Amino acid sequence: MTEKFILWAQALDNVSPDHFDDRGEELSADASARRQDVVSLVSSVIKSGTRVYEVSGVLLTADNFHFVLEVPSAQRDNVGRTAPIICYGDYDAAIEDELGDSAVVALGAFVKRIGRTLQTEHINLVRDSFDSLKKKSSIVRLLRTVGIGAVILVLLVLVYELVQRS
Amino acid sequence: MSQSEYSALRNKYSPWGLVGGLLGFTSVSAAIDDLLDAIIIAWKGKKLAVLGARGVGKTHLIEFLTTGSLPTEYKQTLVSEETSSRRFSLKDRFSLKELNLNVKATLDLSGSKDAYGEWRKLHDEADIVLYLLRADRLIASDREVEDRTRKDIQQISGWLDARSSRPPHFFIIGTHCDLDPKFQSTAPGKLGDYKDKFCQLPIVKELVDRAGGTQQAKIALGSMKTVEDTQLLVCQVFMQVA
Repeated sequence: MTEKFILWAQALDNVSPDHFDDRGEELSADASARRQDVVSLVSSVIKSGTRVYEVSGVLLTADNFHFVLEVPSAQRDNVGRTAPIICYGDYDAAIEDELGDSAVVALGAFVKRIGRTLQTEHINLVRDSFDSLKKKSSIVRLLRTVGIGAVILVLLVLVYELVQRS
Repeated sequence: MSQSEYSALRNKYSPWGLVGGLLGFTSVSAAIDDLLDAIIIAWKGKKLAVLGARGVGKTHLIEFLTTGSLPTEYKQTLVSEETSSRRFSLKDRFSLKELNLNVKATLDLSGSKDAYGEWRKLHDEADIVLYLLRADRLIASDREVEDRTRKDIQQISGWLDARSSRPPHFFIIGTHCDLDPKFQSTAPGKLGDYKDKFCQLPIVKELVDRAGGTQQAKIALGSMKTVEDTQLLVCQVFMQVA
């Protein structure tokens, strides 16, 4: 259920190791290199991407090929802070409708394993966030198509002009 | 202001004494204006790295440095958050003179050990590194906090060594002192003694040694419970960079 995604949560006691699931594989506390790689992957999207969605603590940031979703869990940590869950994944230009559903299922399986819960409101917002990502991706695809079309048109005009002169 | 004049001023106004002066505990002389000038020059356009374990107050401090207020909603920081740069102004608090600093944007990183790679990137680009730790837990000899602090400094000291030709200003900032009853009962004029005792803790000595000694690693101690407390803590750091 979590094979498509990387999932990450910080321990509620702020002392125990963070929880990581790397595409279906639970990362042990001593897998420090892989855990740091996962954090770097997530950070790279945050640094280079743009915020696509931000409602009631549900945040979705995406670059051209990857997204990072942050969802608050119902639990708070030992100093009273909201404890979010991170979900990282890939997407392509034509986002499948079921990507949001897959993410919800993966998040559900992950939070269950680590003893957390998600609120229904946030689950619905997760689906909304993927709708926003899809819209953004459609606009980008449209702009890309228009851009390529414009370049082709200019080239055709140039070729035509050259043919006319010769 | 020449280096020797500044040194004389700095000697005259010890960190705790000057902070007390800024907050109105003692009379304030015009010389403080000169010192504020030195602070502004020292901080202008500097890039900060705020590092530390989970729950030590990194987000809290960054929020204060970038907005002048404290966070209203607290959440664990997992993904890094880029902050905006800000002209840090203490004008509203101190009518003496505007302390208007232009601090470059920074990243708010997770306190997890798994974020060491991200810590290093931030550290290597920073002019000023602020390493936060729970002073109250170290004073209470909390083994878990000591172990974590030791692991952090093992990493950081290696990064500092790699930058020995151009070392950043490095600060050890002890937070949550308000949770230590001894701190609460210490009179403002005696806070220097409190800091001296903190510096004598074996783990703190080890920290300072591994970070390059007392010339390289400066210490600031305090609380971030209120805006005023946070300001007091930040002022200690400001003055030691100047």
